[in-house]
Amino acid sequence: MNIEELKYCKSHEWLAIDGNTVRLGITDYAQNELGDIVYVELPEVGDTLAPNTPFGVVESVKAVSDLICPVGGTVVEINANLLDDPELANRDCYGEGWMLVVEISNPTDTEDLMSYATYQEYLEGGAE
Amino acid sequence: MSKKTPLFARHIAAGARMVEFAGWQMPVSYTGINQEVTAVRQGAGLFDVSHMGQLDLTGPQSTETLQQLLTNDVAGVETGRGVYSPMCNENGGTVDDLIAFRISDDRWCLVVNASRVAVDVEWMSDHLVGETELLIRGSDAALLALQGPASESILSPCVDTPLAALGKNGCSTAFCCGCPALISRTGYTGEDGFEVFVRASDAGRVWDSLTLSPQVAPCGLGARDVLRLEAGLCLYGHELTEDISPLEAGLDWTVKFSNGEFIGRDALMKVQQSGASRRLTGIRMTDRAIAREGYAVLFNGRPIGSVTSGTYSVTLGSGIALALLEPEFASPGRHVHVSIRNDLKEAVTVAAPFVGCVARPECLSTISNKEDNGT
Repeated sequence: MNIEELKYCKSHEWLAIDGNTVRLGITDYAQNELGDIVYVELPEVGDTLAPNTPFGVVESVKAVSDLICPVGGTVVEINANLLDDPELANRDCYGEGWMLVVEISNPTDTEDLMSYATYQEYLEGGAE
Repeated sequence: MSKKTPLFARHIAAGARMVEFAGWQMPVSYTGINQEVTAVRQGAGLFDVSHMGQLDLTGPQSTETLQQLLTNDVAGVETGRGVYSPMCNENGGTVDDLIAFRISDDRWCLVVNASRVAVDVEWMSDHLVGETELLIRGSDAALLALQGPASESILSPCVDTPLAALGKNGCSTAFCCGCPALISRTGYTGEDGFEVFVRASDAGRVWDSLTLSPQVAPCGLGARDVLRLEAGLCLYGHELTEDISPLEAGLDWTVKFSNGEFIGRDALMKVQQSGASRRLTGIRMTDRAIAREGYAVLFNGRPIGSVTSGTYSVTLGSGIALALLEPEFASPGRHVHVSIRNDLKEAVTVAAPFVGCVARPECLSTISNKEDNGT
């Protein structure tokens, strides 16, 4: 995974867009901020996601954090390994720690996503 | 502007993640909370707990003063010993919980919660007996906690006093790494361990010496919270507040009605006679989920209380929590639900501690769970 080719959103998810599907996970910044991830809650295949609406939860020892997908669509795949081994999201957040694949219902949802460079600027500017 | 402990620069240099806690910049973790918890359970961990309040109480009537202020017995505490006790208001609610070390006949050193120092000082100042003096040890005081089964073997070569002779809750003046110190066999992890009181200017030297041992992991407040929860120990502001009495928090053993008068005695006596309306109970999640503070606990769909603290126990590999529940559910083996994000997750009540040295047979002969320091 070349992280410079990924798209990013302000809630610290990365998106790999491939035609009309998108693979999503959390960024290195997010996993580092959370610390040890001990629990991940994902939707089921076939579920419909509304854009910018929480679709799941990631919990570290200290904190609970919503997972947000900036694009709307239908869940076509989830990373079941992550449910059994949530720390994958710490160890390999851009690879084995991916969360789900969504079939995009409205292609314009992807237009506002940040590039790698913009996301880096966002982080340096004190992202929340 | 939040305060920094004398070890602040070392935390930053070690790459610790910092948080603000009770007005202090404190390390929450260094390598990761779970790794630090495991280090303490299996070897040793070193904590900077210099944010804790340290108060000196002196004068011929200092013991009488404490006996009035605290629910536990202090008059019977010998020099060189410490005692854990809640400090209650007239209603039986908890002003703070603390550990009081008897330094001499007429001098006590109190360790109180960082978040309660101002409240404690005001409350105690209003109840000083006779010529008793209360002094806050300010920025010149540091406190390090070395916790875990390897603590004694690690600390022993650094001190000029035989640690094996120091019993649970005992304290002794000593030189530690060449620095004047008070060393107590206390802690907040459920493991054997020591707390080392030193001057702020000496804290770095002690920290550096102890972290030289490959067995010692620097640990932050994140691990400290998991460890104390695993050990079933109360944290002020969660299990104890001005509205929660020690009897509700399961600290009956710290309330000594036989001691005569103390503040809150009448109110606590009433609770004792009529029975507390809620009791602190351990909860272990059987579903894969983590109960957090404030989540509702239900039995057959009916709310029976709420979670006061919850986390993920890496030692057990499951969610654990403390909850104030209706008293009939405050016994082990009750199957309950915790409401987590509009979903009911299964859990079972258990007797705390969940884990810790106190749960190990080889420790039971020398260490009593009931004497643990809850501050």
